[in-house]
Amino acid sequence: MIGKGLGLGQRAALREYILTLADDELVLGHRDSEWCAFAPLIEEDVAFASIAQDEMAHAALLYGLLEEDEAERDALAFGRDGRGMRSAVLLERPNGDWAYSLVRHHVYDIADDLRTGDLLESKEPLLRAAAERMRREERYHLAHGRSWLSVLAAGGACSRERLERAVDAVAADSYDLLRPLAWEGALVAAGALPRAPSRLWDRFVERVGAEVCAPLGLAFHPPTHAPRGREGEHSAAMDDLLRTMSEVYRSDPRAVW
Amino acid sequence: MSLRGVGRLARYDDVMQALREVSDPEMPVVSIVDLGIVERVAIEDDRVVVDLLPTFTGCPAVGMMARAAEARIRALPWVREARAALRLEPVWSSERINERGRLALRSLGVAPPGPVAVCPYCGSRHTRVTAAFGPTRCRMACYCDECRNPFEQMKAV
Repeated sequence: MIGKGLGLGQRAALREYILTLADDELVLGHRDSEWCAFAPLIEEDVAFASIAQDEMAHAALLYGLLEEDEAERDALAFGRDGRGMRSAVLLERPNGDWAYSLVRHHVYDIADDLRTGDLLESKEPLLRAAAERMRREERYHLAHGRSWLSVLAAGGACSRERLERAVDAVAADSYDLLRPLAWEGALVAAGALPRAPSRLWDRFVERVGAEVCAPLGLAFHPPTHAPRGREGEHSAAMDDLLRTMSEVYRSDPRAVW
Repeated sequence: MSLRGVGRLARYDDVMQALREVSDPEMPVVSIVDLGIVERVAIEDDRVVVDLLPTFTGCPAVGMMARAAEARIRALPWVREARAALRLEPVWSSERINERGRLALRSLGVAPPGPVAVCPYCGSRHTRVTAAFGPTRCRMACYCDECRNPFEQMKAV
């Protein structure tokens, strides 16, 4: 199991961190899956559904690091209410238009890329292996996001306007992704991470600026008063999302598949 | 059946032969040995444990392959217990697919992973990826400009 040999406080911090990673992937994976049958092209329908499936698979892998038992793992994924979810509020927002969903996913992928890059230096072998495993698939997501952004940027005035709106909306929620949290220090002390996740913030802003905004002639100035999803403060959209996502699970939590 | 007369090496060969008959349900001619999924075989008397490496995260075929491997090994006359354990380490990569696995993929019309998707039908390198996300999460959709056949390539991960 993960966190063997760590003290109680450090183990709790490690659990919190893995939950934030897993909840992010699960919630975004669910939102992305809502595009299935509605994406702008049939190929994109397949692509975005595959990406959604990847994110959900990553969530399952991460929950599996915390709970070996399948029923416990399901309870972790589908049995908590909004207060217990550690995901960033950005990821639970309703899909809006294609530009918003795409920009949100790509900006999240940049944060995730930085985060999992640090995990390659973790002293927790299973966490390191999980990061390596996920990064091999994320490479395709980053390429997908980049190619769509350039397509939308060349799409005329309407497309351009939607992109600008999307970048603004995503920027407003972004700080939640990498806000400093109380348990970060314990993770670094335990050797689970080379540095606190919030220390990636400047690099994140720089990368989103260069990779998403600069080609559009935009700037990325995310405010730091964004929501606090990591601390369980979610929007009403989260309740709707959880109700839909866990509907089958809640109908019979003991069911064997 | 007793273990008498079944030597250590013979038992190892039996297990490997059994595993060669287990394949990915999506790609029936490619064995899990040739896909590089079998990481380790441990035999202690009549008990066998094989370590398998999941390929793509959350691949629905992995559990099926593990159960099929257990059933196939348990069917060996000298085996009393067989268990397939899924391990996260080392991390599986498409480079673990051996030459026989690559040939078998081609026979299914799937180009093996690599920088160029070589057409599995005519061998041409004049091909292109038409969609990076194909019919399953491990495959891309491609097109051959030489023989004009659509085909798939397994993703390099």
